[in-house]
This record gives sequence, C-alpha cells and structure tokens, in this order.
Amino acid sequence: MSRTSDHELISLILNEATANKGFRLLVSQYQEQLYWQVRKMVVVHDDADDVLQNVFIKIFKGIKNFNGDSKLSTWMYRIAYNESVTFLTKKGKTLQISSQELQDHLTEKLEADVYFTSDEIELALKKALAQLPDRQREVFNYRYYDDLKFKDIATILDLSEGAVKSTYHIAAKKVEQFIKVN
Amino acid sequence: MKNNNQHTQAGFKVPEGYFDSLTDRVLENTQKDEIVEHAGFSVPKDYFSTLEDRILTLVQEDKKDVKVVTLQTSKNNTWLYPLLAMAAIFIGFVTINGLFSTDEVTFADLNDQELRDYIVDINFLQDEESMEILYADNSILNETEIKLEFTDNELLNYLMEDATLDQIIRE
Repeated sequence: MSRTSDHELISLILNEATANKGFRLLVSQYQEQLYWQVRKMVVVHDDADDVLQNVFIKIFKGIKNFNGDSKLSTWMYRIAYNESVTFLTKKGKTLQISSQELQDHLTEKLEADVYFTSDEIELALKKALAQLPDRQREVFNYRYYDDLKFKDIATILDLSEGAVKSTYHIAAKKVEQFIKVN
Repeated sequence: MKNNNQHTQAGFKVPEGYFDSLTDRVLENTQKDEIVEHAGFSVPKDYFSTLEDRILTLVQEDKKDVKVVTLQTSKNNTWLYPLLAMAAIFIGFVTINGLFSTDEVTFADLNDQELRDYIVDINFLQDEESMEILYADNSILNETEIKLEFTDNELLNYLMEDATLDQIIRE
C-alpha cells in the first residue's frame, strides 16, 4: 500500500468530509511506530495499549493546532513520550516507589512476560537500560532502537542537540560497561 | 483426462480443489504466524490488524462525549450579561455570609480543646499576625502576677532541673 504524505494526511483530517478517512490512514501508518515507542517506555503490553489509545485521542484533538514547526511524526512522538511519562509517574505513585525502583520492577517482570523474547542479549540490554537515569534511557532508546536523528530526539525531549549527543554517548558507555561486568 | 480429485501419486489422493486453494492458504498462515517483534518485545496475535478499528471507535466515542454548547451572541441579549453577573455576585455574597445571618461568633464560643487543636495545627506564634493578636490585649500581661524575688533554694533548683547551659549563657 502506498504511503500517504504527512501533508496529505493533515489536509484530509482538517477537512470535515474526509476527516475519518484521513485519521484512519494516519493510525494505520503510524500505529506501529508509536506503539513500539510507548512499549519501550512502559514495558508491559497492556499498559502500552492503554497509553497508545490516549495518544491517538490526543493526536486527533490536537492536530488542528499542529503548526508544522516539526515533522508530524516528531510531534506525535512527543505526545507519545508525554503520555508515557505521565503514565509511569502515576504508576510509580500508585505503587509508592521511585522511578528507579519502578524500572527495576518492570525489568523483573520482563523475564516472565510472554510478550518478551527469551533472547538473553535483549534481556541483558533491558537490565542495563533499567539502571540508567530516565533521560539517558529515553535518548538511548530513540537512537539505538528507532534510529532517530539527534535533532529529532532533541525536539521530542525538548533538549539541545548537543545535550542529546552527549547524553547518548554517556548512556552507551554505561550500557557497555554494565553488560561487560554482568 | 483425470478428474481433479483423481490425481494420484504413489496411490495417494487429495481432496477436490486442494491445489487450487493451497497457495492462498499457505500465504494466509504465513502472515498469521508472523511474529511482530521490536527490541525484544512482541505483541499478541493480530494486535495491529485490529488496533486501527479500536482506536477509531474510541475517537468517535470521545467526539460524541464532548458536546460544545455555543454561547448566544445575539445583540438582543446584551442586557443579559450584566444581569447574570449581578446575580452571580449576589449568590456568592449570600453563600459566604448567609442571607440574614446575625450570628456572631465570639471567643467565648470556642471550647478549650478546639483552641488547643487550632494552635497546634497552625503553628501559632510563628507569624507577625499571631504576635499582634497576642499583644493586642495588654490586660493579660497586667493581670499576670510576676514574682520578682526568689529564694536561693528556688534558684538552685531551677538551675539544676530546668535550665540548660545554653539558656544560662543567653540570659
């Protein structure tokens, strides 16, 4: 199926007569990218599904205000990022644990998760990522798994490009070190 | 020519039309069994194929839930807003003060326990306002009898039991 350009998608959505068709196309084109982004942050599939639904509702409500300063995908990534952070904060409060403890808790659950590969390398990598501060883990995920440009990561996380680059290199070093030691 | 269901190979037979639909069925099964994976994570079977419909249904429901009522902007109603504002102020005033309230709460209405709880709760005497209240009525100080003379024994007992070295230095 041919891919509809972001510009066309926005035009379709903003026209009341074609809004549903446009939004259907948008969901179909971006659902996987956004799902994996959310999943890497919240870890559990059911949680990722809940967050993703909220993300699309926010996108639908907010797309009229999308001003085109960044790419559509970057704008949606940012919404997904904010929703995931909000979800994790609420979850941490509910469980009455810190952000670091929450990451450890989620990583522990991974080993029993039927929707996680039994690949030892992936599990080791997830354990290494759980040790990183939130910001370093987020930057690492975007760069390593999603192959996003530093510039786009900077827009999503509201950081400077230089800060993103140095954060990534520090995170990568820490991950390497953790895997060597463990 | 042999019938479709009569193809034989080493004595085996296949159902009629078996080979005609085989390609489609194999492809269908291949797609079904394809595991969608990313960064070690996977999703339940058919998750993405049903996600689009679920999200669109949700968005439609969300749209229905939010009903925007347009405010009347007709010029005929311009007198209405000052009237509504006055009504709101009146209701606010009545809510805060009561319609014909003449009850005045006095200090004597408070019982000791309430007063004690209040002082503990608000950390009394920590702000300027509280200090002013304390010194507003000097009769309290005037009526208090302050003993200026102490015997040696009383002073000794005080120093031994109550005063700390720090207090003595400060005094």
